[in-house]
Amino acid sequence: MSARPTEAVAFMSGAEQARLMERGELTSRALVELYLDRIAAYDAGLHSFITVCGPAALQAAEAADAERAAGVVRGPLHGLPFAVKDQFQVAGVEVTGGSRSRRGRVAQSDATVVARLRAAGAVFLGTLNTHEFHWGPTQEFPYGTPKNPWNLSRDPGGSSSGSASSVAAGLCTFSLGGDTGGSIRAPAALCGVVGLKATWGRVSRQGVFPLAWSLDCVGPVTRSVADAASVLRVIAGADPGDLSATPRAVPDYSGALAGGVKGMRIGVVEDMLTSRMVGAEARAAFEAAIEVLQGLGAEVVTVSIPKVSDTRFVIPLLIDAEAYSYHRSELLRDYSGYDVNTRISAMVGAAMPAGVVAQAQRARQVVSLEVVAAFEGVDVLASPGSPSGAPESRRRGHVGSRRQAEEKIFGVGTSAGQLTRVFSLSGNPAVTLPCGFDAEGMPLSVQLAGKHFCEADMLRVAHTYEAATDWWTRHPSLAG
Amino acid sequence: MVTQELVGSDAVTLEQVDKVLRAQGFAVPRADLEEVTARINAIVAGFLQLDYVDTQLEPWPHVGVLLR
Repeated sequence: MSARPTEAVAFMSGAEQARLMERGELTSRALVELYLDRIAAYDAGLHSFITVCGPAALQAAEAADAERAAGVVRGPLHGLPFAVKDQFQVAGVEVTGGSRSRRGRVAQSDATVVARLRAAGAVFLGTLNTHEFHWGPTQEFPYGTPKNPWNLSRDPGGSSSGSASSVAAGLCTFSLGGDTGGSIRAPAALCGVVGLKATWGRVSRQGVFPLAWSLDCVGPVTRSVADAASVLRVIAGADPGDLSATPRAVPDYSGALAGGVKGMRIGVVEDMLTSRMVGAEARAAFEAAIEVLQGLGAEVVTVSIPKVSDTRFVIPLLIDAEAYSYHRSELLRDYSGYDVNTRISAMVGAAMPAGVVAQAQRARQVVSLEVVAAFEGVDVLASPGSPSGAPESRRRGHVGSRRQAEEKIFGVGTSAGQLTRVFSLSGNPAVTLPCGFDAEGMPLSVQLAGKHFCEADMLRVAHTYEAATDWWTRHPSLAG
Repeated sequence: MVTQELVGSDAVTLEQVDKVLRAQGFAVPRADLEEVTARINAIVAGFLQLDYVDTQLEPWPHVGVLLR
């Protein structure tokens, strides 16, 4: 029987935790107990979790330990505790979408990705806080305002806020989130962890609450790139419950991590490095990361996605229109039960002229073709993962004029959201991972994007960078 | 008559938005209506500044991705 694990174990990668289990130095039960203790100690201040399923998690952990003792190990995730954004159905667990309007609704079955993780031996720990219905920015969080574990006055990003903050705070081994315009990658970047969005259609969304079907993706938040590869291998693949999930074979992403970057070509997107897109500290950290990759043998070239900043209007326009069509009947029943930002976004979708929405779809194709062109002759694209370290958390207040909407909602004059949105529009895989800190100690991030269904190349570059640096080993101090 | 001079002016009024929403069953509070109107006008004005009018691309969302 292993002794109680140290706090350091809570921040290990899943691969490191699995190695301790292989050596008999850690049990799944002890790891679940450690995380439950930490959730009890710290999550009242962080608001990462909405529902914690302690007894069921302990039971599942004991079953995983018993299997391991009998010589049955289902894979690299065996016995590792995970949590999911409160967007995924988990049998017997309330699924709120982060909304008070959905309180008390209990899922009858697991989402496909949850079922696959459980079948792979992973242990479900609970559901995680999110902007309401993954829309955002939510103004009043009914389950507590999520905080950034590096500084509780800072924003953890969203909409998968709890998915990123829980992993960064050492409250679970890994999590799942949803990414429609950057909702995995942006919070992962602001919280100093790894956030992965695969190619649209690579991962089933059956049993996952939709925001905008033509953009929605599901993916992991982890403390290491290798863990992201392991989780993606398990959750990816065809699903009769989601016809958009491609029947293409799922590669061995973990096996493809080795080999380095010598001879690979990285395209730095110059339009995502302008002073309007990214702050000086984030740019400097990004450029240092590119130098590391260059030093490891990658060839770096400059590429362009000229219309990248147009995404500020295209993404919200498409999301509002698609999401309204999903929420209409519920909004008619309980309009005031929705957060003010969510219901206003829905009404924008309801009243927006159809021709403008069609034009946004056209713009999406134009931007997507620019992304395809940027990939000519390169293996991955690179940009900063966030324009700066996490900003202060603040509510935006009433918006009563077009000018206020431009500034507060669409970020005209800032880079908010644009670094991630372009690859949502184009459907390309993308990952954010830590590459430094700003002067105030907040994490900075690099974003790598791959060609469609070429997650393996992208993860290989990310893993090679991670292995050459130690940013990913740092974690916030929550005590005191 | 449509002229370039109109581009940038507010495309819709609060009353027009209210009518469109009521036609779909929504009688929303005044504060919400103000923001809905502001956002639509920001999007329309912002979008009209973008150069997609002459493109011959069909707006097929995403179909190309899985065929590629």
